[in-house]
Amino acid sequence: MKRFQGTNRNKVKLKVQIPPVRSVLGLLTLLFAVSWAQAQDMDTLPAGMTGSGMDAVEVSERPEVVLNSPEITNVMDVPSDDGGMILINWKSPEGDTKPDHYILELKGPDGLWQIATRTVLTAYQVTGLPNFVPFSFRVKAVYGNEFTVSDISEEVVAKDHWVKLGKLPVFIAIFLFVVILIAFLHAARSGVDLFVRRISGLTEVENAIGRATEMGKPVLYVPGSSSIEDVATLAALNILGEVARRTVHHDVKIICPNRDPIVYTIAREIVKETYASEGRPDAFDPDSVFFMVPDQFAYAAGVDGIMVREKPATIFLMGMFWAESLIMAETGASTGAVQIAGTDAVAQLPFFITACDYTLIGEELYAASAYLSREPLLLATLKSQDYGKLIFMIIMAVFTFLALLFGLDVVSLIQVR
Amino acid sequence: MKRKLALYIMFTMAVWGGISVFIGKQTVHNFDNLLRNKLLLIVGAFAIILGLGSLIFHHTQKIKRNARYWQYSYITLGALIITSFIGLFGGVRGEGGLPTFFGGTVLGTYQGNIYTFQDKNELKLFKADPSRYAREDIALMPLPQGVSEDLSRYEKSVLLREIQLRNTSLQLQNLEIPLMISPVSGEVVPFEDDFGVSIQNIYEGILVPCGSTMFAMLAFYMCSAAYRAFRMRNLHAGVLLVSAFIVMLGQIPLITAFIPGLHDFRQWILDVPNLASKRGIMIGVGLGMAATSFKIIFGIERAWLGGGEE
Repeated sequence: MKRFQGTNRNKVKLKVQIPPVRSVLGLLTLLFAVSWAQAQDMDTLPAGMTGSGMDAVEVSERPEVVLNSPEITNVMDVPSDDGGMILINWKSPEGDTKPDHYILELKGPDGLWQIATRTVLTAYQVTGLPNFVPFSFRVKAVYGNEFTVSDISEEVVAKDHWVKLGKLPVFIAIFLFVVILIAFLHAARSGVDLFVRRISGLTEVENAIGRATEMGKPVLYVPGSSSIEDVATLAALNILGEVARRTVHHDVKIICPNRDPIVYTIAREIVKETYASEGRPDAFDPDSVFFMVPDQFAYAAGVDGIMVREKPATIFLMGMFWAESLIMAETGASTGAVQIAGTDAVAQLPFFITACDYTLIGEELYAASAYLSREPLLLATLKSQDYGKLIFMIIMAVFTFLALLFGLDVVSLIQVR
Repeated sequence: MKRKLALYIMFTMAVWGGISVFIGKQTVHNFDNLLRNKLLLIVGAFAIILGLGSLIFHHTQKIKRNARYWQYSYITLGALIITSFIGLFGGVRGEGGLPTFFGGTVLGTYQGNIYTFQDKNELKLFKADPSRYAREDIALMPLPQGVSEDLSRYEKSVLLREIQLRNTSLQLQNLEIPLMISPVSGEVVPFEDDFGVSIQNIYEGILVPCGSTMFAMLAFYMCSAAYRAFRMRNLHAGVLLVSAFIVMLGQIPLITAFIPGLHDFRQWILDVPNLASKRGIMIGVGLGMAATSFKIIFGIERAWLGGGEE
């Protein structure tokens, strides 16, 4: 005899004497009846039902259990933050039966209880609360279809503070970086020769523009799809100046379509000023740098159109790109142009590596303007970037060592809140 | 002098932006938001005028020069004029003075307590009587009484699933909803401007499908890029080919069922070598961003000003 425990709490008792197998039809009837019985949540199987191959089944009542309530142990405003956050800790209910999950609820001045979260943990940081408004909390422990409720906590207000201590690791990192930067700037001013490793993508810029001169075809420069707030766009604009300088030297036309109107304004000014500073203001074509369209895929279509119509000899894809990266890079590859791409978007890098001749990976994009201009002060920033990375690697190695050998919680030391 | 002024403004704003990251006071943040968002919006509005000027200049030049495919420039300029006219005088949703709405009859507004519920990016509205149940009980009740009579069986199940499994709940709001008689069904429905020529409808009806078409082309470009990548020209390409093959096979349940450990190996490729290189790039990117920012803040990099000395 087997014992099954029902999902419902009603008393269920079934005793069915089942004869041996008679037919497949009988088995199907049994299956249908059982599933129907479950669906109807019924106490007994339908009368007259027959089946086969089963022992008598008995489902007994679930024993009554006492469900305890959780207990709120701590409710406090998160210290040294920018406000709007309250931290709540609670103890799980005593006893053998553990809840499936908890529901944390909060009550504001409107007197209505609202659900803050559902969680299996026993702590939660409520965010987005208005500052200096009192809130009280309670926790529901949910056991299936039942629940128990904790006592209501005292009222707590969220406050904003002057100093955000959670940002201390960021402050230390910036401070270290500035110290290294100042040291290298000082070295550059003193005339120390700063060695920079060869970046093939940037070494090829000169050759690629020279190729455009030989072919009598323009250079297409795409300064990314992002806005001016993106640092990658700033890096792309810095490179644009150097590329424009070389196009002046080689007497090659540059085409620079833009997606963002602010980026367009700056790009136009950069190219115009470069032509002027190189003594060829007359050679600047005001139509060479233009605003195209703000829509992502319309921009991709427009750039593809230029690639197909103008057949540029060299294409630069620099800055921030999203899904349009491959659409542009593949179209450019199909026209036979030399393509040099650079982005810090990790997800787009494989596409550029596949479809372009040279790719500036991540930090190389930011190094490009210094590398191309060979200006000592710019090279100093590049060196500080490298040494910053070295310090990061040392910190990571030391922290990994400490965590593995001594079990130290190093993550909480450098965690930014 | 012009450049010096720009450098001073940039330096002040950058230092302010940096300091405000470490200050928690909301008043500081509000002022920072004002500078970043509101001022940038104003600058952006002026830049759009410049951008439009550039667009018009570019296409008129193409027409003048009889450049290749100059005919399309007429379409661009025509679309610019028409949409500008509709947008300026018809409003975003057809609420302007221009009679761009030619749909059903607008009846007036319904005001009352409405339960709004987000489902698959669609905001659903349900009439409800808040006095019949308390909001706190929604999570554990089978279904709120006041809502049930307005819902179909499917909607009930969706609602229950969302409330119980996901961290969402109904929002009780007092809304004013404009109503109209639908020209299609003749029923009273919430006001929709689907039957008018508004900027929103032009955007949703023309620009979004065109964008989707371009996005869909990505699949074909991926195929040709994959072919290019998977040609085993050197050792690196070979490693890429093998790892990509394993990752792709590991995604297919039918294959992983027959090759034990393949799924775990695929996950290891993604979690260990792939993630390690990604993080390496990201650390470099972070430092590069910091270096670029400092180059600009300290006035070492002046390419954004057009280069050169002040």
